[in-house]
Amino acid sequence: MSYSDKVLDHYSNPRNVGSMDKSSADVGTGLVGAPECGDVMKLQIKVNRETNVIEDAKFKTFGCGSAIASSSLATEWVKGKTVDEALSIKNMDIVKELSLPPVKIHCSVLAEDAIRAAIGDWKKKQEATAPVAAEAK
Amino acid sequence: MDRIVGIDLGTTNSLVAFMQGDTPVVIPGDDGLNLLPSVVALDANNQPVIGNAARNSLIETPERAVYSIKRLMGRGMEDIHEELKLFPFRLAEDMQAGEVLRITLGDKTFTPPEISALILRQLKRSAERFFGGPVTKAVITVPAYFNDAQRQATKDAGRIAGLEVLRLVNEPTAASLAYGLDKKQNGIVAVYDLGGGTFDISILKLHDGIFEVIATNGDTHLGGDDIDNLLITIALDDIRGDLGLDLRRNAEAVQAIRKAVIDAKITLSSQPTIKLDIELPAGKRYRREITREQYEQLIQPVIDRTVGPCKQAMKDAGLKPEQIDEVVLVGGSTRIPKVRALVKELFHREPHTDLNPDEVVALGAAVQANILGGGSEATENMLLLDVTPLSLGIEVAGGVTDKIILRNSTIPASATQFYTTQVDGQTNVAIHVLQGERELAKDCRSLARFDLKGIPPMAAGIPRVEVKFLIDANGILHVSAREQRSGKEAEIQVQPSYGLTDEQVEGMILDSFDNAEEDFRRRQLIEARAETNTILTALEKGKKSAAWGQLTTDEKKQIAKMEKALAAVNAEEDYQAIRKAIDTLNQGTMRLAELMMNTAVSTALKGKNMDETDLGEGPTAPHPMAKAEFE
Amino acid sequence: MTKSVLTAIGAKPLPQDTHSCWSCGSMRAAHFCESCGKVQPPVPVDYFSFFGLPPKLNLDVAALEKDFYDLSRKLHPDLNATTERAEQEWSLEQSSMLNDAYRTLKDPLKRTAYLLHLEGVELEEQSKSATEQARATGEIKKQIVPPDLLEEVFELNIQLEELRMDKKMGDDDPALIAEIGKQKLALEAKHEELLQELQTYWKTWDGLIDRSQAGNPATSEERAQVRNKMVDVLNRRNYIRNLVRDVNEAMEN
Ligand SMILES: Nc1ncnc2c1ncn2[C@@H]1O[C@H](COP(=O)(O)OP(=O)(O)O)[C@@H](O)[C@H]1O
Ligand code: FES
Ligand SMILES: [Mg+2]
Repeated sequence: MSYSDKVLDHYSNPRNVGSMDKSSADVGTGLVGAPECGDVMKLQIKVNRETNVIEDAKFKTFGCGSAIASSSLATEWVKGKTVDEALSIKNMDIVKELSLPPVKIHCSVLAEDAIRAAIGDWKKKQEATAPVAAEAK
Repeated sequence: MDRIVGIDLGTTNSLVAFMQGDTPVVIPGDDGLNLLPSVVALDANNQPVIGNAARNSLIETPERAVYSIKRLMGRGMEDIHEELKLFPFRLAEDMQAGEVLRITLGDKTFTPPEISALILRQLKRSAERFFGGPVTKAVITVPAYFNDAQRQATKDAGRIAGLEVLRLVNEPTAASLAYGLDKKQNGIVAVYDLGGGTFDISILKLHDGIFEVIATNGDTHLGGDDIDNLLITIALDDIRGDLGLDLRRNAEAVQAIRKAVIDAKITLSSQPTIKLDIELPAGKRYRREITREQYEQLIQPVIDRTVGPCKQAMKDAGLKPEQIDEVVLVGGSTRIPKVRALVKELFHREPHTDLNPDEVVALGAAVQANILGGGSEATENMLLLDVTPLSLGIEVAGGVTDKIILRNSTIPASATQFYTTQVDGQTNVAIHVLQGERELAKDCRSLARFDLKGIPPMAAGIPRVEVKFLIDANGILHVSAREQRSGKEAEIQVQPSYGLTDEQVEGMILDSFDNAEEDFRRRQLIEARAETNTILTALEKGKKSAAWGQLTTDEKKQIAKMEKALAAVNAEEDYQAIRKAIDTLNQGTMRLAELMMNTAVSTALKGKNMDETDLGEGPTAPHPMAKAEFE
Repeated sequence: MTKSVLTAIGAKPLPQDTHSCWSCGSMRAAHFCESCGKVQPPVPVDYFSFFGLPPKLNLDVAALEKDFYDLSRKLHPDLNATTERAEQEWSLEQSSMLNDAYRTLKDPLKRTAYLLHLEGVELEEQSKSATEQARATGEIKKQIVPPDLLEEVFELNIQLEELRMDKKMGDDDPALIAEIGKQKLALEAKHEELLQELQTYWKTWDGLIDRSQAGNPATSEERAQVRNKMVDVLNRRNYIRNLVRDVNEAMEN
């Protein structure tokens, strides 16, 4: 088995580790878990309200190396994408990129779940804030 | 029934034992001693000498001798840095990375299994002399914490020595068999084995003859050697400081110091102080007094390293010290009072010290040999259920280890994994098998790389290759694979990370199986002839002694006749005839011998060598450097 | 409850029992011949059947141990070391299966997971299938465990990280240690609770099996219901187990 350096780097130097203000209106937060192993992952996105483009992403994962690499890769991928484009990322894309073996598939699922949950959270916030925004106008 | 012997192939001492009736007994070597020091040397004719005979070479011609070879079994260049710093192993100059180690003795090189094989062959010969027939099957003990490669190397050594290794048994477990045979009691037993080079702790449940190991732990780099090295370093530092003499590179001097400090160490197990007095080159001397207290302070860090494994084993077994009924001490280093004190503190009880710590492992191996051979009344109902000491894992993405068989699983144990392909038409899948507890593959021991070949070309992700990993009762891994959709057996190519290939082992075999019988006869002949020489020489001496004059003419005539008869058959090939003639002469010279009783020659007449008999029984634990050999 | 495996197998013949012993020709037992004692070629069976047990979760572990010892005395390679090569192979396979089966069944959690596996629940694949389903319907996947449990796990993990950091720097935060110590006790209690809960579902499950054997098979809904309950407990337990482990580790070091 050999991995490209780029892939290996997600293991040794995960990108975008950290957190953002959860209460901010343009931040969406996804907190998800993998019941298979009991690991948890939090992924946050900051979305430009005008363009729907994800401008920044951060994550914090308490879990295995594959889950950390998956979330690192996921945050890299979503940056610069619109929320709808980001929804098209599938766990199998991550599996392929990181060549994860069958036993580690659930780790990649965690990353996909986290993206979806974060986008879901952000969308909910937009619906909730929409009337307020209208009033302000 | 085949004779199956039990062998303790130790770092420091090796032994062979056999079940005689319902008791296991150690078979002595030709020097009459039970312990064979695990030292191998080449004599001036490049012939290997083993054991006590080789110990002298350590000081006289250190570049032609090797000890503690067990430390190198199944290991690669990259994991012996520590060894090379502390032990005078001389690697072959043309060693390549990834190659099996080769050690230089004189101008020849040997792999660790070959050196171990020389020790095994010596034991095999002792057993053959004992039985008067060939011995080709053995149970060999290994430290419980030995990994797959180290086990495989031990098995290879057996094969090279012309022994079929029916089972590798873990040393502490073997000890428990000897203990259990004796005690016949149900309960929880911990075996604490601190020898020369390795430390093992095993916790077992004894239940109506079943010896079930619940947890095992250890350190394959911890033992009396570490204490010796500590003392040697201090002596060398002292000598440099006080006398301005740097002896680090002087192999002879280092060996002389080693001999002295080991002797001091052994003395300190029973005496409150010891005076070191070592003769050094250039007419200098190194003198120093060491008290038990100083010594104990010094070795505390070394023996403290046994604490972690003991605690982990108890944790893995889910047991508190109070739940353990007995702690059995094994290995020469458990004679150190401080070690006993530590064990007492760890397990909250006085350890069981009735067993001879040097012999109990070999005796247990003999019990296991008996069980394998079909058992006897004494071993009826006895069965050993051992565990794998280390988890077996597979490298997955990112260099992470995925454990598939956990440590302390009862063996034989198996696990099945499924693999698929990542590219359309891919026909090969590579698997990297690891052993160890760490999360990252690089921190675990690499066992082997497998190449699954001949997977029928299909779209990516479609093939389903079932790979079965099986750890057998020796603790050795076997792998088989099958592609499920096509039912095709996938071919597996194994590249053991360290170790000899089958072909290499074949090429090294010392006494091939087919020749066992013939070899044995030839050897018997050689030995019988040697004995003829000894007795005839002794007789010559006897004739010159005062006792000769006291014999009647008739007696002298009889002896002359027997002597002639012996000389005659000695030229023939029939070893049995030679033996008979020796016996006759021995009988016939009985009175002469009696008359000479006060002189040492009497012993020689019975075919024994004077120098050896003078040693008497010897200390219970002759180390390569033990007292017995001091001039 | 459990009879010795020898009699249990006699009472409830496994399909392969109808074959005769390869060596002496008499009717063979499942793993070895009762007439001549020879080890038989292994037949793939599930772990419960290997011990001649019904697939029930309440299990007499002492009786299982006895059966394990009895079978070991027949199947272990040490006791078949002088037999033909093929027999030695069978003995190796049979006894590895025996050991694997015993290891799985004697442990309550492994036993439960194994039963679920036999029932077609792949605990390992839950996330994947749930996510695939959510993707297909375009809905946000409902997390398999309750969100507040996730919050709790996440928060505690952050605290543990702080604790480790403190220790690394040589700092000491008694308030934090006290707080984590309190959590530890709560977690251990919770873990115990979950195991208790699991046992109530065992009972339900075993009831269904008993009923089925009495000729009144459980419906697939009934089975699915208990199954899902057990899966749910196991999932929640995984998080708690990790936390208990990590808390203990962080406190020890
Ligand atoms: N009385 C003693 N006091 C201290 N150490 C001893 C004593 N007797 C033997 N030893 C040490 O025990 C070790 C040998 O133990 P043994 O069980 O024979 O080792 P191994 O199993 O490694 O061959 C050596 O390091 C030796 O110096
Ligand atoms: S093992 Fe838990 S996410 Fe990978
Ligand atoms: Mg030993």
